[in-house]
Amino acid sequence: MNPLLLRPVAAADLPDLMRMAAASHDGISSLPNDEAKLRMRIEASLQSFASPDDASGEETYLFVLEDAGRIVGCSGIAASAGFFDRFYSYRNEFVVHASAALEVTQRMHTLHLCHDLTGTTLLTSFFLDPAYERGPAAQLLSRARLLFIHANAARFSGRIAAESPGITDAAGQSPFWDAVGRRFFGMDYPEAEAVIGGRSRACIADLMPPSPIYVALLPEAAQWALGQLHPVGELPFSILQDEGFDADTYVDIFDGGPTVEAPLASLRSVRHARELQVRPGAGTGPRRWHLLVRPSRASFGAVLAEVGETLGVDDAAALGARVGERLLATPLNPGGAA
Amino acid sequence: MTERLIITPEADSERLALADGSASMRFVPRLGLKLPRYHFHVGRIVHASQELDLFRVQTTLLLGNDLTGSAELSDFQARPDLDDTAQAEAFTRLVSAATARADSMAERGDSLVAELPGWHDARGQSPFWHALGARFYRGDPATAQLRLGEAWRSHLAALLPRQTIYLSFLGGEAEARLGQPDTSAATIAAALAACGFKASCHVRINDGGPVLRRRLSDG
Repeated sequence: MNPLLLRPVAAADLPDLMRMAAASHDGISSLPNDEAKLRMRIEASLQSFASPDDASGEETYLFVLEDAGRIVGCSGIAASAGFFDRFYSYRNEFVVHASAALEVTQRMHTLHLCHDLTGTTLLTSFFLDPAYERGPAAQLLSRARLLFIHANAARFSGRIAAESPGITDAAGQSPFWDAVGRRFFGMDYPEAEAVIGGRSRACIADLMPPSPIYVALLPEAAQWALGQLHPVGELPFSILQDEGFDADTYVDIFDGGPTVEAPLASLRSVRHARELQVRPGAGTGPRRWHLLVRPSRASFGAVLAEVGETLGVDDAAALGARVGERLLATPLNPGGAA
Repeated sequence: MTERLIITPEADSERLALADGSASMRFVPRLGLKLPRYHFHVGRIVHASQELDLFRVQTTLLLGNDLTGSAELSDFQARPDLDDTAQAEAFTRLVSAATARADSMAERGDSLVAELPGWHDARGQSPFWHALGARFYRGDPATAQLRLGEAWRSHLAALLPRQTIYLSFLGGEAEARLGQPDTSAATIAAALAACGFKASCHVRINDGGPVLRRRLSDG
C-alpha cells in the first residue's frame, strides 16, 4: 500500500495552500500567492464538487495530495477555458513565401493570435513538494485529474489543454515578453504580472496586435525562448507529453511558454483506463501498480495501488470504497514494468 | 518663362531633359499598370485601455498597391560636374516644367509621385532593410536590382508579409529612419519640396525611403 492520497481541497487546507503558493513559481496565473484569492479558489472548488449535475462550465476544481495526512502538492482543473470571456493563445503557423524571379522559396514561422482553446478544459495549478519529484507522486497528482474528467465527461470539454510557464531569466524577465508584450504595454514582465494578476487575460490580449507576428522579426533571444519551458515546468510538462499531449501548436501570448492540447479520448491514461467493480475479499490476477480512482464528485479520491484483473475491497481500502462500487484504474506505467 | 524640355518617348514612359543638358528624369503617366508596384502604407493604431491606464500609439506598415495609376517622376540624373547648389537648381527647373506639363495632360494619374531612396549609413547599409527585408530575402538587394532592374521590388513584395506589420517590431534604428531620404538624394528632395511635393503616407518597401506627392490639377 502506498500512503499517497489525492482528494478534493477542503477549507482547512488554506494554510498548506498558502505555503505552496509562496513556494511556487507559476507565471501569471494558476496559484496566486494571496490569502483572499486562495480562499476563493477553495470555495470555488467546494462549490464545483458539490454543484448539481447541470454544470455551467465556470467550475474550477482543486485537488490536494496527502502523504500520510501531510499535504505535499496540489493540482487543479478549470472546466472551460476563458469561461466568462475569450481564451487567447498564439498558434504556430507556417507560410511559404515564394518568388520565382528572385529564386526564393521560404518557409516563414508566424504566430497567430487565436481563440482556438476557448472552452477547452484546462489543467491548472500543478505544484509538488520538490522532495517528491522523483517518485510516482507526480503521476498521481497530474493524471488522476484526467480520470476524474473522463468519469464526469458531461461537465468538461472533450479537449484538454494546459499552460506551462515560459523561460524567464534570473531577474524574472521574459525575453518573449520583452520582444512582444512589452511593446504594447510599456512595462517589464514582473511589473506586467503584478498589473495583470487577477484581471481577465482577454482584456489584456485585446491590447496585443491582431495581425500575425513573423518570428523572423523578433530578436534572437525571443526566437529562442519561443515554446521553451521554465525549468519548474519540466516535470508536469513531461507527464503531459507522455500522455500524448501536442506541444507544437500553441504558445502562451505573454511568455511564449508551450500550451499543450489534446482530445481527452486520445490520452494514454484514458485509453488504458478500466472500470472495475469492487468485489468482496481480495482481487485476482497478476498485480501491477495503478492509479486507482474513486471518480464520483461526492466521494472523489485517488491512490496508487497494486491491482490485478479484478478488484477486491481490500485493494481499495484507502479510498473507503464499498463492495459493488465502480472505480477506475489505469496502469502507472502502461507498457512498462510493473 | 517656360522651360523647354527635350522629350524622348520610351516604353510606357518618357525621358524628360532640360535643353541645356544639366538634368533629366523619367516621367510615367500611370505607374504600376503592367507589373504591380508595391509600397508600405504607414498608418497608426492606438492600443488603449482605460482600466490599465494605457494609451499607446503604434505605427503600422501595410503592403499594398495604393499608388497604382498615379503619375510618377523617377530616375533623376544630373550632370556630374555640377555642384549641389547647381544640381538642386537644375532639378527644380526640370520638376517644375514636368509638373506644369503633366497638369495640362489628359491621360495621367490624379497625382504625381516621386520615390526617394531611404537612409543608408556610411557603409551603405539600410537599417530598414536590415530589420525587415533581409529577414525575408537573404540575397543581396544590389545584385537583385542589377539583375531585375527596378522591378526587383515588385518581386521582393511577394516575399514580404501581407498583413499589418507593427513598426516597433523593427527596432529603434529602423523606426527612426523610416521615411527619411538618403543624403545622396538631398538635391532631388530639395527640388521636389520647392515644387510643392509633400511627404505622403507611403514608403518604399526595401529601404523605407519616402514617397513624395503632389496633386495634379483636375484638368
